[in-house]
Amino acid sequence: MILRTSYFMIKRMLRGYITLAILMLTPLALITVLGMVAGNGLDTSGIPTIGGIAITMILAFQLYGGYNTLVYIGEDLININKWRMHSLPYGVHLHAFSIILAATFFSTLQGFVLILFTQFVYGVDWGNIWLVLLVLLLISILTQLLYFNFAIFSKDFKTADRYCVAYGLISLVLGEVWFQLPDIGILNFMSTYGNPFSLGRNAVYTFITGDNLNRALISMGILLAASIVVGIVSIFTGRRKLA
Amino acid sequence: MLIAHISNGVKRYGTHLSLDNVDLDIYQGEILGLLGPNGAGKTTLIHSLVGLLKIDSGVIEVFGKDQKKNLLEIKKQIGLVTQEVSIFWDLTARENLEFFGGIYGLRGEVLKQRVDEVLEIVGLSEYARKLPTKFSGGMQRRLNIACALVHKPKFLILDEPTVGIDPQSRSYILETIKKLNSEGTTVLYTTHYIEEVQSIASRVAIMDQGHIIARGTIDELVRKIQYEEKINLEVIDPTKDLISKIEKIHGVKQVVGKENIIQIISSVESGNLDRILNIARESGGVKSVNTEKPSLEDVFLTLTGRKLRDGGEDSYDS
Repeated sequence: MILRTSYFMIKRMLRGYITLAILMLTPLALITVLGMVAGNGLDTSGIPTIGGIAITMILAFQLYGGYNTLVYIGEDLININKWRMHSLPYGVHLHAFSIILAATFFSTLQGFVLILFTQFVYGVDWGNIWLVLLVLLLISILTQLLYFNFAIFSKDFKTADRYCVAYGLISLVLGEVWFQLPDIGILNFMSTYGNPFSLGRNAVYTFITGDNLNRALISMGILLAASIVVGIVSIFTGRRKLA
Repeated sequence: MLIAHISNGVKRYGTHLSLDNVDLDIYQGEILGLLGPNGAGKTTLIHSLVGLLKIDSGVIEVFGKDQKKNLLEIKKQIGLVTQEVSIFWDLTARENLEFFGGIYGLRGEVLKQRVDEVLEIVGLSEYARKLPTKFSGGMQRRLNIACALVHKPKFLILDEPTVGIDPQSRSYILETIKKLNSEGTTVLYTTHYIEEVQSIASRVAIMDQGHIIARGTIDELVRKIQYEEKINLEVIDPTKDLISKIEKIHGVKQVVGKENIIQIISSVESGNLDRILNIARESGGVKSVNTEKPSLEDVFLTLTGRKLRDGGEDSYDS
């Protein structure tokens, strides 16, 4: 049943053209423009600049890939369709799960399409592309679960949306995308292991350069552990808030 | 046979009593019109019946089974048409029905056939592949109903399904409900449009401020509040002798002659209409006759002291 409803959810997400455009076309445009501005140099880690830009953009937009979860949890289980869904002989927690499942698949696929595009069009070397896909999947799972909690704990959509934007922005600030953070112990830790963006970047850089395998493994482990913790929290919060 | 039964149902929201010791029986094969103004507790009652809300006290049985203990089984046989249009706007009409049909366990050819049938019932076959965003308000409401019909429910509950739609769509929906009922579906229909209840309901329950204040057939309810009817008789020759003869009939309370129209107030069910007509025919003949009985609106007014749509709600404009 969950697979069946997930299939319909993916259909619905495919018809969300605006979300699709924002999450696909915007990073592509940014990679193209910033890549042209930056030229053909190497970044501080020794990979081509266009590769660094592509990693940043694809991972950054993964942090906003939970938007579908936010919208459909809101529409189907909190607002417009709430009573209809509750009247069905089908647990609403199962529908919530199928939304998260579909959104995870959808968001990972979006990222993967961007990876393939940058590989074939801009020649970005992603190293082991399947491991990069695994990283995208881990970030996506964590993001969907966080967005799910934002959706059910906020009093309205706008508030939930603000939490989601804040989640992405804080991750990017901690990931030092725009500026370096002060050289303080806690901030150093946060910028390396304290946010999903940095964790994903650590792993992807390792897959491209082959350096620092330990850091990549720790990063992926933290992503997995965080997803499990948030997943367990979601089971309890979902039961309480959606029942 | 009872389809649903609620006794002493109480539901509170803080200090507000939304259901105040509600007792209601719904019988198999009937269309029960649940009539009441906004805020009367109709939606709370419906949501309680379907198990969407837990009542604070009281007993609810559906299909003869305790609702709390058999909720999943009960839900499989109920179709709920919600007050708001609750459909997936990014799925076509057919996909919406396939989604809901699938939830009820329909698969493959059976699902396809049932989806086709339901699209036909609600008159949306031609629009099966279109997104509901392209539909008129009436078509969206029809799809909303279709989603509750796809599994052939034994008990269909409609919560104000015609709010804000054009008269043609309203008429189509009411005809569809009558047809479904004639095929054996028991219907609970809530509305604040008296005309709709008069048009389709076999029995009516009037709800106000969390209470069921009256129930019965429309005639029974009308009889509860008024024991007189007004007869307007258009005669060929309105003589004083004719008026005098009518006045002498037992149960006739008042006779007023105006040109060739005679207005008579008589007890309801006194059988006086036949007697009056016979006398008038003997005295030159009758051109026309009509009787005025109190309406459901009068019943509501008498029972609650206010009109059903006092709250400035939209009017019924068919």
